[in-house]
Amino acid sequence: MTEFDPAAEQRRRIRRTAIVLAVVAIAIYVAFIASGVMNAQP
Amino acid sequence: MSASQTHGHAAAHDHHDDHGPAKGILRWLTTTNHKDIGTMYLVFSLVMFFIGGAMALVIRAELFMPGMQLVDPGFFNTMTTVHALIMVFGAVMPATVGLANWMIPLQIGAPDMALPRMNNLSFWLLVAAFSLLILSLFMPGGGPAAGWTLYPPLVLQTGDAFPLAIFAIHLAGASSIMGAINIIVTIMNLRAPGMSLMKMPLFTWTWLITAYLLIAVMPVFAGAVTMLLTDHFFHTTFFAAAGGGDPVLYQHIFWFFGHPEVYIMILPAFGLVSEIIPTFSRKKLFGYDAMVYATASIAFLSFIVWAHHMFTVGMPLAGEMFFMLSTMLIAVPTGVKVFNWTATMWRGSLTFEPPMLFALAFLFLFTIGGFSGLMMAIAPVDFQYHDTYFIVAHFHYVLVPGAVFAIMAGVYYWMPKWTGHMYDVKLANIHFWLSAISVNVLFFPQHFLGLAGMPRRIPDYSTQFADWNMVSSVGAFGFGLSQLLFVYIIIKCARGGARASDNVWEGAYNHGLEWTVPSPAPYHTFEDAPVVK
Repeated sequence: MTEFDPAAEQRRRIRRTAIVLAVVAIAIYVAFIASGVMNAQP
Repeated sequence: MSASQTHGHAAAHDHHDDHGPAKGILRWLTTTNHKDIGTMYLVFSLVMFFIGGAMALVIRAELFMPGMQLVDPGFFNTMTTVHALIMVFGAVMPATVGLANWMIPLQIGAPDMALPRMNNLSFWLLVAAFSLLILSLFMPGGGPAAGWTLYPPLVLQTGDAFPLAIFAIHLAGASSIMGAINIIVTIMNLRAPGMSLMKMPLFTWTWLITAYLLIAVMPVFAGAVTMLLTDHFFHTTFFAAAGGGDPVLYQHIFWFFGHPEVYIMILPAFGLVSEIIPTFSRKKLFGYDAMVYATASIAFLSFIVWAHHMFTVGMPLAGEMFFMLSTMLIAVPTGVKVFNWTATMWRGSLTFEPPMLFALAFLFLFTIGGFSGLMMAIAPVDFQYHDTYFIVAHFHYVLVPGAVFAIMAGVYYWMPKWTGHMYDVKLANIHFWLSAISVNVLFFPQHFLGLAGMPRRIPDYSTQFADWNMVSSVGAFGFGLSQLLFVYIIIKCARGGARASDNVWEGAYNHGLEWTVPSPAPYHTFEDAPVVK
């Protein structure tokens, strides 16, 4: 049985939160460019 | 906050004190220490304040008298554009990020920022960004000159400076987003045991909300300038009507970013004032919970008011009504804040050290900027004031005696903790009075100019505007010169002076874990987390 390591768990949480926030930022960037593409249809 | 801060000193004197920072230039290039990076952000923003300030003085020198005196109109437009970009993205924002880097880990009992290497990258990206922006001034065709809003189609006429400026904005945006991610991750994961969200100092709270705002809106701005770039170089027509695009779309996207951006600059200032007023009133902050909810409400409302910047573009009456009323709604949580700061001082044992003086000036002068904002929220009135010097007066009241004074208050509040020395209080008081008087001489007459009809962003004007322009320019040079005293005070304090106690301010003990570590704060703090009760 593996032992619970609070430091490793904290590192995992830090990594997970950072990745989620970065993905949200990239998604917003892409979404607004996509809105421009939709709007610019002749 | 009631905190058992028994581990603060222990942490400060643990074995990590044995190895301090690396020596030489490599320390600053490679550091991952939040205090080093905070210092670099603060020094960088100070340099940017002076570069952006010099550009403001070029503008005010040209406007000292009617007629063309010193610069050609194209260069004047470049100055207004780059002054704004530098002050917003290179000075005010990095100054609050520097304070966040220094103080958030200390306030929540964390050993450092959660992602220290990304922290270093965030800072150096910012240096690269502003090096590019300043270099763009020397490109053929001159620097960017379409205003900081970069509206198409005008901005697409920029010469070779265009790609440099757009790349600089992308880099600065990436730096801001990385900084914001770091702050959120740090606050959500590295708080000391017992430091619940509703026990956090207000500065940390306001920064948490600001960081979410940054992640939500910086990619929007990045998207807008990416589309500008493709319109310019790849013949897309996002914002060109001839190709099926819409130049007004850019304005909507820009202000969807631009209005929250105002709060990105002002919310940390609210946090600073919320730290300082209780300390020098020797009381707890009145209505802590209400302050947190008011901050969150302002952040939320900032997303639904953007089109008040565009009333004159034209929109349906229902749209005008919506954006007018939603903008006025912001006065409610802001009023809660002003009321709570005032109530904190009520029957307090007040003293007026430099941080308190700057915080009090913020309270009065930011409120003036808030009220002129309310005036312009009224759509039919805005049709009269739009693009006049009234708006210039409004946003400068919000950002200079507002955000900048709060930053100066923060520097005077925490500088003894950073350096271990007390600064020259007499000189700091002189700095305050020179700044407070000159900033009003500089910006208050601009209300009159705007109401009389003087347009913004013009290098020459009708003679009827001559008197107040002259007064405003005298104020500008007075304010600029006063800031040399600020630099002298900081350098003198960093080099020596009377020893600062750990608590520094008599009323500070109750307001955050930063006062439990020695002055100067050791290179490593809170290696063992303190326990907050």
